[in-house]
Amino acid sequence: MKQFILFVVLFSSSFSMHGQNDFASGMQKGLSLWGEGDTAGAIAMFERISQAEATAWLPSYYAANVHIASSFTEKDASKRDEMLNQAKRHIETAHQRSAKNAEILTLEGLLYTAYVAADPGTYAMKYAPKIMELHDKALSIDGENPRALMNKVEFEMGTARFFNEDMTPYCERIQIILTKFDDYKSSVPFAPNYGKERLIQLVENCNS
Amino acid sequence: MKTIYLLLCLLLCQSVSSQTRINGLITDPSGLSIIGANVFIEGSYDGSITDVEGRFSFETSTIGKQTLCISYLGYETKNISDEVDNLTNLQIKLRPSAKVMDAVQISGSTFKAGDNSSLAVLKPMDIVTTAGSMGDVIASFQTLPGTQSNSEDGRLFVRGGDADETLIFIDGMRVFAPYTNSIGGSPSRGRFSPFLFKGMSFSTGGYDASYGQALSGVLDMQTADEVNQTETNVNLMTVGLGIGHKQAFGKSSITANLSYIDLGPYTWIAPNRINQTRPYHGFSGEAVFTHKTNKGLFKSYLSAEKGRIAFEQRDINSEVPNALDLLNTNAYLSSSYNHYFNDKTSLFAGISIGQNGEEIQLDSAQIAQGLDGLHAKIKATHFFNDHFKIGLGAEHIFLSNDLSKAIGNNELVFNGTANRNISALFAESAYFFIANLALKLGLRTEYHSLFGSMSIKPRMTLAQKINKKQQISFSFGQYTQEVGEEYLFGTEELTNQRANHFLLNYQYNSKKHIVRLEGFYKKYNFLISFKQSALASENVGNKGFGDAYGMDVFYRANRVIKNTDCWISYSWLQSERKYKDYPSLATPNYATTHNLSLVAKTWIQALSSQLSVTYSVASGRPYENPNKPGFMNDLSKPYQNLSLSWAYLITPQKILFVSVSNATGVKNEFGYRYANVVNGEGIYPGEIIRPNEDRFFFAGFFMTIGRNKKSNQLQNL
Repeated sequence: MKQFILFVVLFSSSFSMHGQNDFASGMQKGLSLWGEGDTAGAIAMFERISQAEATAWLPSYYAANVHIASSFTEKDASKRDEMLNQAKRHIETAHQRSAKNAEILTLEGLLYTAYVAADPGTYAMKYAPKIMELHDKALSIDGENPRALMNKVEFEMGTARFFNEDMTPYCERIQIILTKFDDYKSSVPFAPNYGKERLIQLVENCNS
Repeated sequence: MKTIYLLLCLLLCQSVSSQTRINGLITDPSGLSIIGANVFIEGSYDGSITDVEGRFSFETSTIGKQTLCISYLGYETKNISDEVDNLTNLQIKLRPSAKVMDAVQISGSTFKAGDNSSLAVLKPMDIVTTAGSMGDVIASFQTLPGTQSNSEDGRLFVRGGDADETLIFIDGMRVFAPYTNSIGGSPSRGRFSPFLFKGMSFSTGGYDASYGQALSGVLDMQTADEVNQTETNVNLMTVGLGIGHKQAFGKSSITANLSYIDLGPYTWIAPNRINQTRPYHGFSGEAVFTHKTNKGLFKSYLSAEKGRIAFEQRDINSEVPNALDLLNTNAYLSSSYNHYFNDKTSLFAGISIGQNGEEIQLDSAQIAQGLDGLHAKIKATHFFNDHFKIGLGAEHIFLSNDLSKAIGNNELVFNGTANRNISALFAESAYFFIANLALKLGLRTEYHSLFGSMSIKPRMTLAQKINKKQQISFSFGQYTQEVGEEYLFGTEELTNQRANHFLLNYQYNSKKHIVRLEGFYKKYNFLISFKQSALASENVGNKGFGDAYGMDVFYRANRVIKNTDCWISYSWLQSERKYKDYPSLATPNYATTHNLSLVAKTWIQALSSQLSVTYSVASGRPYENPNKPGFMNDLSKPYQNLSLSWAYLITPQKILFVSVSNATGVKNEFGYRYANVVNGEGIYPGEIIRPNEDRFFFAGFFMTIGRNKKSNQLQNL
């Protein structure tokens, strides 16, 4: 049966140019390329979908997401800056296509967090208020969004650690967010649903 | 079941057969393959990325005429329109984009502060955390090469030029009275608080055609674009108090600061060399308003200040000290709008107005000085392609100075006004031959109403990138500036002073190390000249001339040592001029041959503190000793200053900041003042010119009251 569905998907995608299935298989392809570690291929795929589907925000969202995620491990400073520049550009496109979107705002918060992680001396004081503001904005639109809740608390934990504060209240908050991941459901296909693994890691850090 | 599979396969095979294969090879101009370029049919999902050999191959179901797009980071996107059947075995060369970050920089002699990571030599925090700068923008720029430290004056002296040869701009608009007034021996400060600005660019020569009326240097400061969050700041300092508020609403934002400074209590505890009958006290306020439109950004900066100071000035030539009382009022407004029609064409329009008044009571004499200024500017910039850009602009400056002197019961002894209009047209073009080689040409034509003179002055920079981290550039420019306003009240025929700049610059930029080397030669002509008699200046003219040459060195290490940033600046300067009432060519008192600054700051996590050290040394200052033959014939002792500061984060919202300048208490000297007549032994008695105070202590407590508890004031220090 699986094979059959695959056939149908391949079959129909070879027909229609902009059909829903085309979009779905394109997105699926991009996500699986990312999963395989082919970031360049994934970004290229999402960029192609983004230019073909002038109203979809998810392709730009994921293109930005891949750039940001890879920037954390990039050692070459100028390459990393260029990745973040590209991510910024894709986030702007996503914002234009979907205003007041908590997921995009959360991702933008992560973008500036990546700047801070790359060069705290230059960016920490400059972007800290912006990051907090973006998380708050995301939560004012969608107060239950687990990624917004998680990124906010993770950034606050970083600041707290910097000032040698007690981590207990943050760890308690993480536990609550963990339950929200299971409750949170989006009706939009390919809507972001990642983050739980990261949160579990944070919980483990708290316990150790 | 098998039949269904067969049927499907047939259908599928059929649809595959209607597909067209597109393939080819992507290289850079030199034939090196480009890996990972995105190649696709515009508007479709069909595409792929190039492999390790630069090859791509994919199938498309589109038919007829289509556009093939090839995009790759750092290269110009290429579009090829053709029948899909023809899109095979393509050989495509991509040109490197001149817009990318790595492209050659054509602003040779400019030091930038801000977040433009690859170019900034100072980070935003540096302006305020450099020990000894006491939050003064100008003082932090004095730790960069090309400046001569004149710590009793406080203004920017650039490469052997007088302080008024460096102009200050806000968002490209001229500031008319940038410095606070001070008493002789105490440095004046810039009027701006550094945290209202997102970036600054400081050019010590060779600046482009959009800047006029500056012989030596230009400091342009950009106000912050946006407010990230609503918050209120309260500052309690040993010299006064301040309150600030930031608020964003929709597409607009406003930031405002108010402060009251009174040096009275400090001077009472730590008296200095001058007897101050009423130390400096005054109110000042600043505000920035921004508004984003769909395609542009409007910014407005407003500042106002009123301050008074009264003191007794001793003079070696008079038995009793002179009583002085200075009252300064200043107001300034600058507004600008940037509009982006598309990513190729933009328009800038700006206007600034300023008013500055000084009322001086000197014993029984009253002197009133006023300055009204207006600056309007418009500039259009267009990118013809990624390699060629042109900017055209026009500006108009109106300046009106007035001066009146009265003695006793308002008996007027002098009253004068000097009004002038300066109109200019300028053009700038930049051509990137390839990403590694660029040429910038500029032309500025200017008319000065008072001199009736018209000038056309060229500017040019040629820059070559050696590799990813290094570049060299050569700049040349001709500059004009009117003579000081004090000479404009007379009837003499005067003209613009002139300077030619020649610069050779080398830069090395990496994340951890920044190196700048620059050699320069500056030729002055038509400088102000006069003969000083007991009563007035006579024979005022433009017969002065001079030159300056030297070498600047800058090195910055970012986090080479853990949590520590440090930089070293060294300037070597040879400058001689015959101007004002100089009888012969001489090195002016403000031009020191050697200047060295060492700045280091380190974050100590265990103490939640940032420590900062600044050490400055300068060779002696030339002065004239009438007991020896000749002019400017003596040299003062070298200058030394070790400043320390400590910022302690009590909590994220509360910061304690303590700083001391000249911690070791070195008794610096800036020359000698001599009596006009010889004493009984036949020599002119003299006294050393010293700063008013050897050390200066500052302590402040900064608190943020914000909706967001995690924001803090470290950035405001």
